[in-house]
Amino acid sequence: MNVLVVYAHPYDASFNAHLRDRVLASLNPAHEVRVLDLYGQDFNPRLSQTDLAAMLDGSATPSDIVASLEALQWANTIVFVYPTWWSGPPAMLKGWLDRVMWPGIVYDVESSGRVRGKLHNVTSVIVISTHGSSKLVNVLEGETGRLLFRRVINALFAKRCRTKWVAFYTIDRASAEKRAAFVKRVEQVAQRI
Amino acid sequence: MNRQNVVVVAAHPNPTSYNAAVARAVVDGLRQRGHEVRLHDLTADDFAAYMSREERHAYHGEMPVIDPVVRRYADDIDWATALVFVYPTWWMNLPAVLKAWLERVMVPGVAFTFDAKGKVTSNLTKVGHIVGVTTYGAKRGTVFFASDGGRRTLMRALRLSCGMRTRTHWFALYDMDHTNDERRKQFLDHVSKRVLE
Repeated sequence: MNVLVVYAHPYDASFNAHLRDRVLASLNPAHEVRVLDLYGQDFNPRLSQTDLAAMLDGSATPSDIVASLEALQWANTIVFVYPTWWSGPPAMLKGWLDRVMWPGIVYDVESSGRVRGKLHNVTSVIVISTHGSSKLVNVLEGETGRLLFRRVINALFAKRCRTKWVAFYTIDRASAEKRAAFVKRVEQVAQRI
Repeated sequence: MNRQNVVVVAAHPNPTSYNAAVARAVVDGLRQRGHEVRLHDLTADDFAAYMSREERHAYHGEMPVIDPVVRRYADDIDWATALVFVYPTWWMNLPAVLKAWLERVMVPGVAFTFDAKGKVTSNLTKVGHIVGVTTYGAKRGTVFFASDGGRRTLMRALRLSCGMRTRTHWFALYDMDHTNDERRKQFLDHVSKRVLE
């Protein structure tokens, strides 16, 4: 199995970095693993006028997203690790989605306007995300991150692909025990890949 | 409506795009009707499309705002009684640069404050209106089933920071690639006249 871990947090002393490390340490050693550290590799999340024009006129993909596209075409399982800010993924990760999900390679648009995914190699997605606020507040806010990955991005992959949502809430006030329990849960999810 | 102090945030990367034209029409329409407008043109101002390491470190500290453009934007937020967002919907959500505007500008001390226990109280009590103006590739029904994340982020998550008496308004143009010039002009004129009317 090819496992791609996409990680988006500004610094390496974070709980998110720890979760990423625990995922990597818990994966079955028989899997091939690649990690995309968006902040670490100074990914540019801004979809520019040039990018947009290239998408529309069928030009070559920008050189700085080639590695990401190759990783997406290689992966069978994708694991996202990121902090939820304002109900959804950080701009850095949203920008990765904006720029890397390239028409003609990742998806086609049918004449009806419907998006048809082409990455049939991806059969499973796991989203691991921490939240400052409680589950209740997140539900009230509409859980946009959860819906983005489960309804919209999931459609870019194999028909049978399912996106699993693994969330930690109220992180700012969580006890050490609660944090440890969540780490354990993440390890178990990673082990089962 | 009383004269408003309006911050308009425009997030399309192409200044010759339809979306950018809508943003300009919104600004002109508001000024013509006597409102004061300050524009946050995220492309023209080269606004960074992500929250940096330094900003993340500073977030809970004394000075969460470190970038001069963010400082200017934050001062405008202090002045504002209405916020209008004009943007293209990508993957049912805000473009990264507009998400970054929320992350980098709506910080503690500007949008809200944390009390000693970490509870959040709103600082945006002057903002009485939030308006979203957006274009979608998808049809209305598809957007509904996918749960319009961009709309939820602005109309729910941001609104929670503004207090419950804040009113919200939405202007949407669906199925962009199948519209014609007449439909697009109709929408542009409609929004220009009706935002905060």
